[in-house]
Amino acid sequence: MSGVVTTTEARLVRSVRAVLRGASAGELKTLITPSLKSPTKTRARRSTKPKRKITPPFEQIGPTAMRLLCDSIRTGTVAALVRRGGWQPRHGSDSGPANQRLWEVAPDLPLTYSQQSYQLCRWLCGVPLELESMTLGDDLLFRFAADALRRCDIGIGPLGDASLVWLAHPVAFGRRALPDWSRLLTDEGRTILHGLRDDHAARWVRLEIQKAETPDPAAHAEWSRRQRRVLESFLDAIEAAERFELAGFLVDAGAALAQRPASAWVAGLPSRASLSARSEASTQAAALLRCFGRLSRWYDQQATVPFFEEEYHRAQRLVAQWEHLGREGFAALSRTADQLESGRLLTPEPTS
Amino acid sequence: MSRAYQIRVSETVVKTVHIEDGLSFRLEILDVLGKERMQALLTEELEGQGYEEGEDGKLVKKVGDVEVAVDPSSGTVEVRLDATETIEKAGSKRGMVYDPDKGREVMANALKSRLNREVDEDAEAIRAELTAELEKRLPGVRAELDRVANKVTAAALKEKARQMGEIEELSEDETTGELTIRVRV
Repeated sequence: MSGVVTTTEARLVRSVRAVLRGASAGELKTLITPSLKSPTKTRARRSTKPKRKITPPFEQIGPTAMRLLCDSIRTGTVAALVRRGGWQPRHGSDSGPANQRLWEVAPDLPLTYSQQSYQLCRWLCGVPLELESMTLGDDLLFRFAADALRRCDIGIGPLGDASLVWLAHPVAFGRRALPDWSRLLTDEGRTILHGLRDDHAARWVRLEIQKAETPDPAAHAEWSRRQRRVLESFLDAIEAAERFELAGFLVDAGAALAQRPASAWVAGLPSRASLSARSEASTQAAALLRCFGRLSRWYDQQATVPFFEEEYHRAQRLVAQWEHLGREGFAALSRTADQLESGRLLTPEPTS
Repeated sequence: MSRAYQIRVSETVVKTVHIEDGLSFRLEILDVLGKERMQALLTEELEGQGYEEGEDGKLVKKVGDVEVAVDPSSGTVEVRLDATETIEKAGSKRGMVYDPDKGREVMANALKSRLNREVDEDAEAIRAELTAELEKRLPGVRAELDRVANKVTAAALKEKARQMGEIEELSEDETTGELTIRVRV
């Protein structure tokens, strides 16, 4: 019968729509129940009745439900991307005008979704996740799902194959193997990152503020280590592909952080904690800020590209986009790192 | 009918704890003459201040109970304060049990856990005192090392100036650390 979906199929579609429209934690918790455990063994019972074949939920869904699901994913991910910052009139392609909205830069964004997206939707409703190869569209869907799960205080460990999830939640994965960044280094990847630029920048700034307020020096140091690990890997990939513009969100975050006094980074560390623990937290925070030194070097390199080079206009666009941080901002971040490494902020200076 | 027994257990926990705290930082010395020469100047100045060669090529000095170790090759300073204490805790516990043997074992384990927690709390209190002591001594250590760094930088600048040409004027203000060198190149 066409045009009809079952109750479980309806739940599947409603869950995905709630995730993509950024529903509140309260609403999400009534819909999503991600499978957090591996299947458990049931106790064997003697029974004379013939065993009934039980089909796992969502093993198959009807054509109407599948059509609704596909439409929800296709339109929902793009709408979410626009809401997160794609509407901002400042993104630009290499050849077009500087101030354009995302849909003007890429009117036909070729996002594809594979079986992996369907696996994710099933996982949100309690079916164990099976990880396969992923497209950029899958990566984006995983990213929005991760945001929804974090709002509900649910772990996102199974989503660690998605590179966008790592950029948005760099402290969530511990020592797990880093993702493959290659999907983000394409033109489509650049468009996605431009759309999420404001969102990523805001997250990294918020993370620094939360980290500074944490009273546990060990957690403070571990957050910095994880952030640095993700950043260094991402920047390595960008540098190898010479796609420096993809670090734009870090420059935006740096511009917000450069105004903070160095003492703000360690303000939450309790004085009753050991000096070695506080020192380690301070040193790790400094090491993270040193990553901006690489961006500073790229900025200087791009600023000195001669006018007769082919890359001149592209380089100038990058310099213009990073000017709000600029050399002064990079220098300020470097000075903050120096102060954090010196350890002087942890103990009161003698009064003469 | 089962009977209840009143039993009493006593335990003593003696633990020797080694507590330490410290931090490390880098001396702020400009690289004026190249790494090797700067290292030599720093070593010379530190030895003049009473530092002696310790393990791994570091120069070490004891300032009271505080140990200061400087790696002249990297300019990294480690400041440490440690203490070894023996903490003894004794206690007893009384209770009613049905199985005296098992009950005694359970009560003894619970008592030992409580005493171990008290030992850990005392160790943490000692560590907090150690940290407070270290924080009190740290400004003095820093001030001395800042003076060392300034002297090394000044010596390096003078040497560089001599390499560049003839020094026409050299004035140094010891209170402010200001150094003025005029060189004829």
